[in-house]
Amino acid sequence: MTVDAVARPRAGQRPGHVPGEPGLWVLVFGDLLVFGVFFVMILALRGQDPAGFVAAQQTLHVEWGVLNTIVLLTSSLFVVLGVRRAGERDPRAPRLLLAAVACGLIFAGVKAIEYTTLVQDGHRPAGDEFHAYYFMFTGVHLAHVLIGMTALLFAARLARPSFTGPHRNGALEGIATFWHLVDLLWIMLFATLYLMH
Amino acid sequence: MNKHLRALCAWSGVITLVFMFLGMVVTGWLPVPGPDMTADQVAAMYEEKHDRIRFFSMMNLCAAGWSMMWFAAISAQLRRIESGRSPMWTYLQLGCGVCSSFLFCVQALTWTVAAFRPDRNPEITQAFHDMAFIWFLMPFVFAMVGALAIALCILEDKSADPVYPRWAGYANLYFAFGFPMAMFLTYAKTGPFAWDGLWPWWIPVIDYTIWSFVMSWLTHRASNRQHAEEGDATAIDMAYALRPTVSTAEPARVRESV
Repeated sequence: MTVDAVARPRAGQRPGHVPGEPGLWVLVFGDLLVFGVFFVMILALRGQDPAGFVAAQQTLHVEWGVLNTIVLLTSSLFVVLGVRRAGERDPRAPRLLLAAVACGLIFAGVKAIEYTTLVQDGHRPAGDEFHAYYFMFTGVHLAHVLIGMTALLFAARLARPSFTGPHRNGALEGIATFWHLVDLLWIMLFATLYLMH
Repeated sequence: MNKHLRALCAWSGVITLVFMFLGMVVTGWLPVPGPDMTADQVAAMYEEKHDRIRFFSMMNLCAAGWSMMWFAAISAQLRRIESGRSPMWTYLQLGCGVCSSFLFCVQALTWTVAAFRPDRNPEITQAFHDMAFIWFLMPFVFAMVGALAIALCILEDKSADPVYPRWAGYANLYFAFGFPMAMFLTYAKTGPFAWDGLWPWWIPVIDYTIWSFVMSWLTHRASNRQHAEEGDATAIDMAYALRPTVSTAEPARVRESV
């Protein structure tokens, strides 16, 4: 990883540059593999009983899902801008990363409302398999969001222009990569759980 | 410490798995019996297999002993990373290792109790059978926090010649995320969330197997390099304590003086 690689435009990057550091991608691909298995299982569930699947899907509140998708995509944009500005030693960088944390908080709040409404409607994790998948995997994803928010708080500290240290850019890129993973996983979950008919 | 004993400790993670696997094959519990059995079915199974289940319990106890050696081997390497500073991650990993090892004993004894009196009321046998499997698969937290401690310790290792490769730190973070899948078994008696299903059984068990192999191999490699650096020194503490006074730390001489 070259120093200040994040600040430079794509064309100027060293060929073969790995965002963060190569080892991080063991975690990223491991997570994607587990969620990939989830994707196959949910397709299989739909294949067994398409009508029942769609009926169970109707109980979800798609408007909250759409809101959360927008919130997370916005947070990823904040992270991209924040990391780029951090590379330029721009003093606004920490604020952008904190804005992404705020998006994470909104996401978690909306999820809490969704869970409460679903449970009040009588849909529980111990109920049918669709709702089991819904609660388990959005729960696992929510844990990722919380870990990612903690990492972003750390990143906001790293992003201060005054911060010096050899691993600053690598760590910032690594945390950004993890946050984009969180975003990507949500898009997979949203598409399969809320939208796939 | 002797090089071969170190290698044995490093690979005892895999030996733990061998004992568990042997016990399960002998009992015919691969794949495991699901939680949807009625009390009478469970009682009939214990009536038929009580000797094999007792054997499986003993294999669990052997596995417990081997796993302690493995967790200690990892702790020894983590402490090398944390030498000269507060060994918090080492303590955390060691504590989680002790708890994980103890869990093998708890489930072993619960299976033993279930198989101890096959002629008793089926519902009592079923309760102990449930308890043993839930002890076996649900307490993911020790493996999870242990993997997390290993991960953070490896990622903090900023030396030019790290004890473990950095990717191993990220791999342990993945395992720390993967193990909690087991807790879902609390909600289901059939399907992919039951204790014999994909999420509480196959994914955590495959993850745990890969974890055991990867960490055994890396710990073996790290302890070999430690051996090359320190020779057969029986007391690493002594070598460490002598380092400031012995210039350029001549390990061979330290070994002779011990």
